[in-house]
Amino acid sequence: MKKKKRIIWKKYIPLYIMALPALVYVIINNYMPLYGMQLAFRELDYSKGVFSGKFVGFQNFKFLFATKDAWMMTRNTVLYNLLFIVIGTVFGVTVAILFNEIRCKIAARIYQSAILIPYFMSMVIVSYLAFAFMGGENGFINNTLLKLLGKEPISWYSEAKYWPFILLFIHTWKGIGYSVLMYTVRLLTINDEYYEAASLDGATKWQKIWHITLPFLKPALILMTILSVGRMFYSDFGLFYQIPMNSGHLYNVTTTIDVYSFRALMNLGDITMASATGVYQSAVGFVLLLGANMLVRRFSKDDSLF
Amino acid sequence: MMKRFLSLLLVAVMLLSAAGCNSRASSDKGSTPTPVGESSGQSDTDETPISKGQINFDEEPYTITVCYPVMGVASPDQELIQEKINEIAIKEINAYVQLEAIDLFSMSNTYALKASSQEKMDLIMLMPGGNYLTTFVNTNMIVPIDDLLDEWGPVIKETAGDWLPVGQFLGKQYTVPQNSTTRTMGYGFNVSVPLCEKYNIDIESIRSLEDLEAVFEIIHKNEPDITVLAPESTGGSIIGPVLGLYDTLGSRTSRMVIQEDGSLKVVLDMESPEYMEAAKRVRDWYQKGYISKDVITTQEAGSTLLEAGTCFATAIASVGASGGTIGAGVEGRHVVFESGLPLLRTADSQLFMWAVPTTCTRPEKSIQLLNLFNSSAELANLFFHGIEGMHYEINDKGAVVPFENAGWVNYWPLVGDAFKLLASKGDVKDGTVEEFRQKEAEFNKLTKISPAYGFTLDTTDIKTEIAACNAVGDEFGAAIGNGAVDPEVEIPRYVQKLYDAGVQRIIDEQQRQLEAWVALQN
Amino acid sequence: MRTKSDKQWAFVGHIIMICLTICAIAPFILLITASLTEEATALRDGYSFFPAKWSLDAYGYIVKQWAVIGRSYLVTITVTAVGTLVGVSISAMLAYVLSQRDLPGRGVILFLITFTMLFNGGLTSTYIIYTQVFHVKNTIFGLLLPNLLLNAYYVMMFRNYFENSIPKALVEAAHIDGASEMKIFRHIIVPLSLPMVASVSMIVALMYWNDWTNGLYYLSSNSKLQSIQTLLNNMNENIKFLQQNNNPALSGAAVNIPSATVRMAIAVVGIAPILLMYPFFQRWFVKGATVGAVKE
Repeated sequence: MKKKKRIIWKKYIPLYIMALPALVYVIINNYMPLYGMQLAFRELDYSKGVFSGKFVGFQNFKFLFATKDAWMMTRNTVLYNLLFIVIGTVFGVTVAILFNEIRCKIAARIYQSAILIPYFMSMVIVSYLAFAFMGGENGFINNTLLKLLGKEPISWYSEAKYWPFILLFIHTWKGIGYSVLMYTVRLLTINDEYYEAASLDGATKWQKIWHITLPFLKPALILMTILSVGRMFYSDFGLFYQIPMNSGHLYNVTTTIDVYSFRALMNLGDITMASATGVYQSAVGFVLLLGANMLVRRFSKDDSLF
Repeated sequence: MMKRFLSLLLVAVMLLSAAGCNSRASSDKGSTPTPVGESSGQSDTDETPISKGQINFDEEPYTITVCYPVMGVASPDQELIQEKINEIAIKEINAYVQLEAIDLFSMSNTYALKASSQEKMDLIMLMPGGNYLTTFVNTNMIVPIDDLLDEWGPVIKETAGDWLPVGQFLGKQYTVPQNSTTRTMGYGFNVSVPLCEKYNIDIESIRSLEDLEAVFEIIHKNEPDITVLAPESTGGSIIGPVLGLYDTLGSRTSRMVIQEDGSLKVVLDMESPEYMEAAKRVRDWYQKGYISKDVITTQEAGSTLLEAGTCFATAIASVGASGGTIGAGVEGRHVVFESGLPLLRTADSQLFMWAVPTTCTRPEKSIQLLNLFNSSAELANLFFHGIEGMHYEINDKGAVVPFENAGWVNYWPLVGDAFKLLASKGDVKDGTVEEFRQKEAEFNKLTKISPAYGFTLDTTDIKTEIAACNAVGDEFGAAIGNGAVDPEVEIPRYVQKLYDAGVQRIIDEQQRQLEAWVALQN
Repeated sequence: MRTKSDKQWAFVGHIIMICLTICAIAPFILLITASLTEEATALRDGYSFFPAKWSLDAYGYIVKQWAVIGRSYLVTITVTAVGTLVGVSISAMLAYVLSQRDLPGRGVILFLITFTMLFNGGLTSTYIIYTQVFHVKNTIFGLLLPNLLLNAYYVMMFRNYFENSIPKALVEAAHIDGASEMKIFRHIIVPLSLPMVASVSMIVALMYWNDWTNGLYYLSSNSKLQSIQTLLNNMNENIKFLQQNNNPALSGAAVNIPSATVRMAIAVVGIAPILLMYPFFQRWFVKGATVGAVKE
C-alpha cells in the first residue's frame, strides 16, 4: 500500500512543478481579486474603504431589468451569439477545408496572410472604414456601387433591418483569418496516409471529408462551442458600439447587454452598477457552460471540458 | 542578447522607481494631523495650537499631491513647473507640491481606483464638475470644506464669491469652483464670413430665425456642394440655438418653467410645445437639404468643416465675448438671438471644481494651496502658461503667445483668479487686453441668472431612472435634434418611451428637491 | 496523386480565397489611402481609393512627436516579446500537465481554470492586488502581468491539441525510455505542435501589442513606459470624451485634436509593426512538421 503511493507521487511531482508558474499566476491574477465581486452587492462609501459599504443585496442589478429595453438587449445578445456561433463555425470550417485543398504554396501563404489583416485592426478603425463604405453622402457603396447599378442611395445608418447582416458580415470578416488558422493548424496534423488509404478504398472527396477530416476537427469544434456558450451573455463591445456609430435608429437592433450597460453608466460613473453587470453576465454564462459541458459529457466524455 | 537587454531594462526601471521613492515627495511623518472639517455646523473649534489662519512653519513641510487633468500624457516639463511652484509654496505655506496629471477621459475611473487603493491624493480637480459632485458626496469621496474655507481660504471666498453656491450640496460646501472671465456662454450660430461676403449678406441684419432661413436658402441655392448647417461638435444637436436656453436642473429631459406667480415648475421638455416647434423647424431645414444626411454618424465636428470651408454655418453653444472665431482657416461670426442670450445655470459654473478627498490627511494644507493659487498671480500664471521665455512670450499687446511644441501645455485655466491671469492671443486676437476685458464685461451684462442657480440635483434615489432615460435620450435625441426624423411621429414615441423608463419619477423628485431648496434659500 | 476531383476542389478553394482576400485587403488599402489624403479633400469627399489630393501631412504630424513615439515603440516591443515568450511557455506547460489523463487532481485544476474564464473580481480589486500587494505600479511588470500573461482559453486550446493531435505512442515510448517530463515537453511536444504554438504565440503577441488598458491603469500620466497603443488610444478617447460632453469651454483643447487623416495615419502606425512581424510566424503554419513521425 505504502509503496504504491510513493511511486505515484514521485511520478507526478515533475508535472506539478511544470504547472506551478501558471497556477501561481492564476491564483494571483484571478483568485486573489475575486473578493472584488462583492462590489456588485454593496453601496459605495469611500470613507470606509471601498469594499465596506453598506450591503444592499440586488439593488445594483435593478437597472438591468427595470426597463422594457432589458428584454430587448438580452434577446439581441443571445441571438447574435447564436448566429455568430453557427455561421462562424460552419463558414470557418468550410473555408478551412477548401483552403487546405490548395496546393500552390505561394498562393496559400498570400491568402492566409491577407485574411488575417482584418483580425489585426481595432474596431475603432474598422468603424471608420465601415463609415467610408456605408456613409450616406460620400460612402463607397452609395457613391460608386449603387450608382453603377443605377439604384437609389440607401441611408445605411438609419435602416435597422440591414444591420443583423451587416454586423454578421463584419464579425465574420474580422474573425475568418483566425478561425481558418485554428482549424488549419489541426488539419495539418492529419496524416496523408489516411487519405491515401481512403482513395484506395474508392472513397469520394465528400466521403473523405465526412469520415476523416471532420472527425479530426470534432474535439476542437466541441471545445470552441462550449466556450462560446459560456460567453453567451457577453458581446464584442467594439462591434456593437463602435460600428453603428451610435445612431439612434439602430438601437433596437444593435444594443447588447454590454452596450446598454456602458451607455447607462457613462454619465453616472457608478462602479457598483458596472460590477453588477459583470456578475450577471458571469453567473448566467457559468450556468450555461456547466449545462453545455454536462451535455457533451453524456455523449463523449473525453471531449468535455472537465 | 535578449536576456541582457531585459536585465538592463529591469535595472533601469528599478532605479527609476527607487528614485521616485527617495525624493522629498514622500509624505511627512512629524506633524500632528489637525481634525478634518467634517463636523460643520459648529463654529471654529481651534483644537490645534495654531491660531486662526496662521500657518505653522515649524513643522516638516508637507507634500500636497495635486491631481489635475490633461489630454493624454503629462507635459514633458511638468517636473520643471513643479520645482518653480515649490519655490513659492515652501516660502508661503511651508509645503511642497507634487503634480499628478490625470487623463481627462478616464478621470472617473482613475479617481475611483486611487481612492479604493488609498493612494495619496490631497487636492483633486473635478472636470466637468457637474458629473462628479453628487456622486462623490454620496459615496463619501470628498469632504465638506466650510470650516476650512473660513480658516484658510479668505482669498478663495473673495475670488470664487458668486461662484461658490454651485459647489454646495445638501447645504454644505464641498468644492471650490474656478471662476472665469466670461460668466457663461450663449447659444447661437457661427456663420462663415467669406461666404457671406461673397453673396453680399449683411451679417448684422440677421435678426431672427426667419432672416437666417432666408440666408440659408441663398447659400444652398448657390453652393449646392456645401453643407449649409451642421452642429458645432459631433454628437451635438442643431436644435440647441433654435430652442434657446433654459434650465434643465441636472437632467437631460427636464425643463424648468417660471410660472406667472414666480414659482418654479418642472416639466418634461420633450412634451413642451416649444420643443415640437423647434424640432419641426429643424426638420424643415433637413428636408430642404441644408443639413447633411450623415449628420448623426459623421465623425467630423461642424467647426472643423466650417474652418475647412465645407460648411456655411454651425449651431453653437459657445457664443462669447469674442463675437466670432478665427482659426487657421475660415473666419466665423456669431449670430445670436434673444432666446440664445447667455443664461447662467448651475452646471455652467461647475466646469472646473477643486475638491479635497476623504483620504487626504492634511486637508487644511490643500485649502492653503488653493488660497495661495488665488492670491498669487505669479503662481497661477506659472501653472497655466508656463515659464516666460521658455514656453511663451508676451507680445506688444500684452497677450500671451505660446511657443510651438512648448514643453508645458495647459489647455484650461485650472487655478487662480481668472481676472489675474494673463490673456492669450487666441482670445484677445489683435486688440489689447483691456479692450478684450471690456468686451467680456459687456457680454457678461447680457447674462441672465436662472432662479435655480446653486441648486444641484441629488440623484441617489433616481439612479435607475436616470440611467434608463439617458439611454432613451441617446436613442432619440440626436435624430430629432438634427431633423433626421419626422418629429410628429417620433416625438410622441420619444415621450412615451421616457414615461416607460420612469421619467415621471425624475420630474417629481426634481420638483420636490427644488421646492425644498427654494425654501432653504429664503 | 491528384485526381480531377482534387483539382476541382482546389479550384473552388482558390475562388473563395480570392474573394476573401479582396474583402480583407480592400479596406486596408482604403486605410492607407485615407492616411495619405489631403485634409480638406477628406472632409469634403470622404475617404476614397483615389483621393483627389494626396498629402503626407498626417505622417508629418506623427513624425513631429517622434521622440515620444519612438520610445513607446521600444517599450511595446519589449513587453510584447517578453510577455508572449513567458506567457505561451507557461500556458503550454500547464496544458501539457493537464493533458495527462491519469494526473491526480486533474479535474479539480481544470475546473478552477475554467472558473477563471467566467468570473472576474473586477478592475478595482485586481488593481489593488497588483499595486498594493505586489507594487507593480509604474513598472514594466504593470504592463506585463495584469490579465495578459495567461489566458485559460489558450490553455484549453493547447490541452485539446496535445490530447488529440499528438500521437500517444510517441509520448509513451519516451516515458518507457525514461525521459523526464521536461525533456518530453521540449523535445517531443513542442516540435510537434509548432503550428499551434506559432498561432497562439501570434495571437498572444497581438493581445499584448494591442493592449492599452494596462498602460492606462498601471502607469502614471508622466511615466516613460507608455506603450504606443496607450498613447494612440488615449488620443482617440479624449477626442470622443470632448465630443460627448459637448461643452465649448472644454473644447478649447480641440485645437490640438488630430484630424481624421491623422487618426488614420496613427492607425497605420499602430498596425504596421505587427503586420511586418507576421511573416516571421507564418513559416510555421505549414505542413510537414508533424507528418511521418509515427508509422501506423
